[in-house]
Amino acid sequence: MSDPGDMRDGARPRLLVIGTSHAGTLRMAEPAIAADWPDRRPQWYALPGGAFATARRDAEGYFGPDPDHPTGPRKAIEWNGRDRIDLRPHDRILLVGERFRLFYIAALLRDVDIWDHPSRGAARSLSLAFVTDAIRALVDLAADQVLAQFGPDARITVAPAPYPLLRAGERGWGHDRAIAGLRGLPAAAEIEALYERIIGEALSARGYGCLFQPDETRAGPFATADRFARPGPDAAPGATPLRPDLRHMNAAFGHLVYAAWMQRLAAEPAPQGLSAAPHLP
Amino acid sequence: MAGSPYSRLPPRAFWRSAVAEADPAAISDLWRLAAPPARDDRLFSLGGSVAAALHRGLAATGWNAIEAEPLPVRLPEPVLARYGWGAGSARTGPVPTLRLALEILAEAAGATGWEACAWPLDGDRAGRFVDGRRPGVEPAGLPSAEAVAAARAQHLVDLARGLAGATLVLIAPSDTRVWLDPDTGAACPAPPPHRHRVEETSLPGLRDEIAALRALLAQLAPQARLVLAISPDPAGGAAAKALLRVAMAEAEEAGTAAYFPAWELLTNPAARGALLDPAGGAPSQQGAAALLAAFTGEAGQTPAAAPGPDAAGDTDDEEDDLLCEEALLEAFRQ
Repeated sequence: MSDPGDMRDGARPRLLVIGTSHAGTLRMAEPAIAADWPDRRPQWYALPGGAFATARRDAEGYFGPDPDHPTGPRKAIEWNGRDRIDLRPHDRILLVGERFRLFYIAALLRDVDIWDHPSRGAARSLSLAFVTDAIRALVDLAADQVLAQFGPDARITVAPAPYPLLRAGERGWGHDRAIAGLRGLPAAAEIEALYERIIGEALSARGYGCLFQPDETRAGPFATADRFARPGPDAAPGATPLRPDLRHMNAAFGHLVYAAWMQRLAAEPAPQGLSAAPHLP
Repeated sequence: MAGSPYSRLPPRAFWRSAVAEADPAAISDLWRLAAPPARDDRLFSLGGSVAAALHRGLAATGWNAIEAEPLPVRLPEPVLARYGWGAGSARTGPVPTLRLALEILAEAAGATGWEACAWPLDGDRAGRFVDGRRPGVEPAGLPSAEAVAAARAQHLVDLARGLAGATLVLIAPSDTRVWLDPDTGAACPAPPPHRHRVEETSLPGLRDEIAALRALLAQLAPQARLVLAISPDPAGGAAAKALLRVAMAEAEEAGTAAYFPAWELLTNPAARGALLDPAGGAPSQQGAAALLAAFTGEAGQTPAAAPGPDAAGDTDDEEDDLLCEEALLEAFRQ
């Protein structure tokens, strides 16, 4: 493991953005990132979620998909031009896209009330203590998965996957009943704060940093503002179009996340060998 | 010359061949029911450690163990256990007495008068309440006695719904001493915190309780046959177990219920205590496996680890995968 303060190569920290398809959101912002932080341009490495879940850091410090995964190695080369990436040279790593079991939690809470909170007239209620323990147990599983994939590594800051778009909770094509139910909790904001506190604690306990999506991207509890929607895919003529993508965001969102990361790095105590703090636009 | 009256009896009829020389964890032929448990039975368990061990074992080996209060997602086992899931078909918590089992079923059938059995908590949980019927299922309590009553009402609706589909009901108490809530007279599994009454149920009382249980089940679970067992939990000691054993033997004789000899199996001296957890007297892992084998008649079943949430995280369906790839393609082809 590298010393996180060891910013070699003078004042140019070597940065890596790594993750699932949500890393693509930041990658789409690359031109703006290059313009705003010309000396803070990252390297990239991403895999589709299924392949990413099987990927591990090996004993030499390389991270890549399970060689036996049916599509992972091919996708790694297809997207990244290489099957794996050497984590060792990077001074800071932003790990993007872990969902922290949000959709399990949404399914658990979509049709219930919570004792201690106002009621919405649900037929069933769960205690806040149980909900807290359930969220903690699920988040711990996700954090353990990160630990199993990367090992202890203080260079890593985890940026959870963005919350689905606000319109995911609206009736219509792509309606997500679980997310709608979660947002419909009368104290949804408190549950979101609880969820994020637990994620922060779980990552901190494993030696990672945590970077939630910026406030300006949000449109209420567990919701990303619709203006950050990724442009819809073009369906081939005659093909059934995919359902709307309510989970992946656009380049503007990626730019704001990157800016938040830069701000976080700028606020760190100046490491030895790093003469200038990252530039903020 | 006529042989001894014992000469034609099978090995199961003799202590040495059936028990003393047998593997204590794999004693077979201990019980024979007219209608033994079958794979298509829907099993409802209620009671102490034997009911809990069998419920978990049956669920883990693919038997149809009723879960009357299911959650929409799988959660790690320790969290479920902390809040009373998995130790029986409903979140009743331990049910150490026939009286408590009877009153739970009576409430599920609509009996009233015990709704206010809510106990206040002390210390840093002052102002919160637990359900006196099942004080362990919400260890941090709920914000009011009314919330406790509402939670129990929902629990009983679910319990009754689960019970209605049962074809076999297992009730496995361990004690004859009944703790009573002083305000409502409700039977409780543990002493109420501030003041309480306690009653010892006599043998005639146990007979009456079994008969009443059978009558309630005819209403709540008309297809179900009743199987009784004794849990080895230390409360009540040997005297309580003996009384329960007699009452259950009589019930079996009368055709009211079948008797599953869990207590005999677990406390068999040949096992030298290996079938019981030394800490609490509940079935050990080996004891739980022995119970399962004896109950189902299917030796060698290995309970699978309880399924937990998908280790890889939220699972995507095929279309989600396509969307993820789409998103990546768009970004990385730049």
